[in-house]
Amino acid sequence: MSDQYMYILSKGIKIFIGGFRQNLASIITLATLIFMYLAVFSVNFSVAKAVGSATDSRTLRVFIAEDSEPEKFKDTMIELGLNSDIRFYDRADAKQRVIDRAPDSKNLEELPEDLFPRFFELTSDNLTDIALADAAAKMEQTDGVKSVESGKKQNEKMQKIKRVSYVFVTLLTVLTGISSCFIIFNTIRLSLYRHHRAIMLYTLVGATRFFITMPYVAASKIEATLAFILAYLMNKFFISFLTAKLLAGSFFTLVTPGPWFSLFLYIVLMFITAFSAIFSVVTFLMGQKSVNEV
Amino acid sequence: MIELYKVEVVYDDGYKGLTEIDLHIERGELVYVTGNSGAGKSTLLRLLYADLMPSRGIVKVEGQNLGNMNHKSVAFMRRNVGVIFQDYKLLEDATVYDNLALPLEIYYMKKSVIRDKVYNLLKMLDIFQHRDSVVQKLSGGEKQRVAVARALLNEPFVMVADEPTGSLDAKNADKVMDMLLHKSAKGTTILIATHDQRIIKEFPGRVIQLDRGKLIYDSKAKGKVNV
Repeated sequence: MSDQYMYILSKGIKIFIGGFRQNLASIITLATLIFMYLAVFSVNFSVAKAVGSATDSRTLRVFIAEDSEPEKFKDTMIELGLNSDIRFYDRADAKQRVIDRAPDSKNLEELPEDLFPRFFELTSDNLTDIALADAAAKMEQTDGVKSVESGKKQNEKMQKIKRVSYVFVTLLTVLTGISSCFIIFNTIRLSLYRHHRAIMLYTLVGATRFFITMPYVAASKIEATLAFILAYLMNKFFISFLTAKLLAGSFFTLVTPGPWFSLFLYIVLMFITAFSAIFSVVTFLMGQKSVNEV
Repeated sequence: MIELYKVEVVYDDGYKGLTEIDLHIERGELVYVTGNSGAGKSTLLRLLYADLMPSRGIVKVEGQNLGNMNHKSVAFMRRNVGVIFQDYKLLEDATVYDNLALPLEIYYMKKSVIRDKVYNLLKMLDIFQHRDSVVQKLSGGEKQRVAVARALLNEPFVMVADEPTGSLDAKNADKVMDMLLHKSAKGTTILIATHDQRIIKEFPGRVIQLDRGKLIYDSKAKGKVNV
């Protein structure tokens, strides 16, 4: 059995090396496709992460007017009976809160405290949506309250954005998968035409379809692996560049998906590659009528 | 043993390649298939290595009905049938060794085992000195001997040769025939499609003649048949 795998691997490497120059364009195309997918995925992944950390559905924020004393609101909030934690953020606290949530954003520290509004934050795990809405309505009618921000409303808006983002990424995943299939299919088909005569002679002397197909599967896996590594490195470089240059000092940071996700993506690519290669070889063999034609 | 019962081959364009062929060939027989161009010689041989399926009738090689076979079974059957062509069907830009290693690779043999088997056969056929030569640099006679060697490598039960001496001079043709007769004497059934009357006279065997797809003569039946 090990002789069989050794043969398939060595023959696959031979096919890959033999067709490398002709297949280079396909490898670069596949790498570009995967890179674009990874880049878009990384941006979406980062946005989703940022949205996730920016919203808390069980939170009510009450922004107070400039001339209002914070002390007079505390009693009103306790009277709401929400049994929640109440914390007041003065301008300095509000600024620090934003800085804590975006640790890489050095320019935030340079902003004057006057730009950060004062507010109360009510947080409780036991708050129901109805209680939260009632409390928000009551607080909006209280004198000295500038505005009320409900975490739930924000969260709902953000979730909609996340859902759109997921749909987009899912669609992109499907399209990337289909495109990869076609690229690999065509690359293998070109290889098959280059080795047409040898393939027909193998069939003449009794080679099975498995024997003919597997080296091409191995060759396509080598090509796809190379394309994936290239795309992965390009994405790393792209994200590093964006973070270091364009997003420097911004509150938004880009992150690439973790190694497990990359591994998962690679495994999916290997399945797609195997499927395309097998389909390409089998349909090619089915189209061959006679060894006398070569 | 090769058996054909009421075999008919109709091509896609409606042309009848073979009509109502009944034929029994015993193991170890040397059979010449003769006839004019378009008589059906190549069609008959192609049936025997499943390069073509009969439109009607039954073709059996060593008891296996070729009409009922799936792809895998056809592949395994072909390992027992050696095929030789007039145009050699070798990999012209590969070496003699690479061409001969080809039928052994399908068994996933170790390279050392393949080398031993190929070298032994090359020595036996007196073409060992050409082992590293690129095929396109060989003469026609040498190429055909390489093609015969490839067909012999798997020790086939049946060998079919389509005009194997058609493009060779008499000396090289005799060398190729000697190789085939040697195998025939060891029990391999050999079918040779040929126009070459000299070969038939010098290396006697059973002769069958086809005309426009019909079997019109069989020397074993001592006369005209199925006309």
